[in-house]
Amino acid sequence: MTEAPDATLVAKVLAGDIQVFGHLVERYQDQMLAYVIYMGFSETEALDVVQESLVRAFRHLKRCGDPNRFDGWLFKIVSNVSKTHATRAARRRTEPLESYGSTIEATQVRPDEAAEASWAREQVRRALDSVPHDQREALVLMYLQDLSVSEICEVTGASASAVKMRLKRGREALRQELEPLFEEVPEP
Amino acid sequence: MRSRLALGVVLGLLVPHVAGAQSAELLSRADAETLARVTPLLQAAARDSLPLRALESKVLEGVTKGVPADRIGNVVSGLADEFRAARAALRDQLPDAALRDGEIVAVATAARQGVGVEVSRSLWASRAGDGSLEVPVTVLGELVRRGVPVARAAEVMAHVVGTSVPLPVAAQIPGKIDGAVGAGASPGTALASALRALNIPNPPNRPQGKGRRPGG
Amino acid sequence: MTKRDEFFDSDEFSGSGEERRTRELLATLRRDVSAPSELRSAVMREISSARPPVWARAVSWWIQPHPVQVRPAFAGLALAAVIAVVALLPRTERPVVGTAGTDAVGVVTRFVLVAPEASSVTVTGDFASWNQQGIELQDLRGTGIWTTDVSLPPGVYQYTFIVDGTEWRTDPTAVSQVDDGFGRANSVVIVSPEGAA
Repeated sequence: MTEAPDATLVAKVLAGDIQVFGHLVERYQDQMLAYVIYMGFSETEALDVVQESLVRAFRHLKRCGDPNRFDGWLFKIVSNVSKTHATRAARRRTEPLESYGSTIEATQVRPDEAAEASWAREQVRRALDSVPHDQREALVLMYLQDLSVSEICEVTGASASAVKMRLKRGREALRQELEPLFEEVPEP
Repeated sequence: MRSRLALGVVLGLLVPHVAGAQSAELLSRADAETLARVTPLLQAAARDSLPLRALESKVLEGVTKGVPADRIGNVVSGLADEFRAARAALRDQLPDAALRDGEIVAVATAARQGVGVEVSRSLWASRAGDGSLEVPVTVLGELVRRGVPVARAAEVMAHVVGTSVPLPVAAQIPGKIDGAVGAGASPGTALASALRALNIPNPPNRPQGKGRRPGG
Repeated sequence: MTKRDEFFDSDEFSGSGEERRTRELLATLRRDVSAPSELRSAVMREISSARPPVWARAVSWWIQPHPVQVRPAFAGLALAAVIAVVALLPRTERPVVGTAGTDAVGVVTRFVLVAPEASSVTVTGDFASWNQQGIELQDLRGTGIWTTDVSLPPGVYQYTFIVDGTEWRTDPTAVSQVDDGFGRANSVVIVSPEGAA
């Protein structure tokens, strides 16, 4: 059952077997959580967003046009839900960056390496957070979730040229944010 | 079989100081065609006091990788020429220095990476003791390969050998640079950041970097 | 539209240096994320019964922390962390391969390759006379992290891994890769007195 394609599971749920939805939850919850965390939410908020998204997906399952593309449709939902939560989250981003695995890394990596590595990550995280939502989403979906341009179109509902423009602008915004931090040491 | 034995005798005569371990291996693993092609090169190299082990190693490498005799010959010939040039340039300014094989190889490798021999040679002048400069020259080449301007890299390495910075520490500089460059730093800034991370003081008369200090 | 705009809009841009740089920078944020088991049960509870008020649902996550398991993914900086872990493992109990035919004092040098898909990994190079078989690495408790310790006189060596007896693979964590002159690349290790890099 857990190996059955999405379309089969969706059909069973629509036929009334609610418990089968649990398999879909397990299949996609990690990926959804990762997306929301990459977009800048804290762990706690991310759990909230993902739960709300999954519940919404269940309630609107009939509206899923093509059950074979359930994943794209599901991600569209989590994209929308996280967008509505975004303002609240941005204002609450005072949490330290321990949510990015440093608990594990701090005990295993040499001190000087951890300092440089987490400093670098912190700069990239800050830069990414400062990029406008749509561009940040395009960057996350492409570079952290490995989606293709057409898959990103499916999730965001934007056209291919719009997605490419968001990627281009997002890259430029990242570069602008990070470049001033790495000024060349001047020659005497 | 007889030509193989003859070559074996020649090779055996070439390298009396080495216990013949590598040469014997060459004999047993290389085919006759390869041996015929490389023996004159190795003879000439021995005559010119070039790093013989390094050349033999390249032959063995080619044999293991299934490379045709001609190509092995060309590569070894080119390598020998590079060693020859490096050795000559070093000898020219340092007639009394005892040049180690590893140092000649390192100077030739660094030259390939864009470090002129005269630049590598400057490390001999800065050296505090008489330890091998194979590792410092190699690190110099690695800095330049990562985009650090040659003059700056040479200055830093001269300081490293002049103040006896431990070699295991100096050997970590390229890796640290990679970390900073990976996060978006320019090579010059990455170098400064690497030196700070390893507690290697910036060479004197250089201003401290304006970049933000990592860590905290 | 200027030539520059055309370039940025074209598909060739995706191979440019800026694109690669963006990819590398963002890769530092990559993590393996695991949802806590409570998420599934919370979802199933909610869809099976009447929907609780939004405020109640939100509060439950805040007051009962259910930590998300966040582990470094095997990529980029996280890989460096893995290598650092393995490099710090005590060396005394591991067998050390010595190199023959040398009088110089050897420095124990650890070689590491992350290859979960491999069934055998060896390393060969200058220090092993480019022997076809090479020196065997051991899979660390089945993790797919292959290591071996070799005693090497200080110097600079070229080497490569051989995976499953057939695939020549360079070391992604090596200080340098060089052209071997035969159309392939070799990795480089710098062995300093008292340490290796």
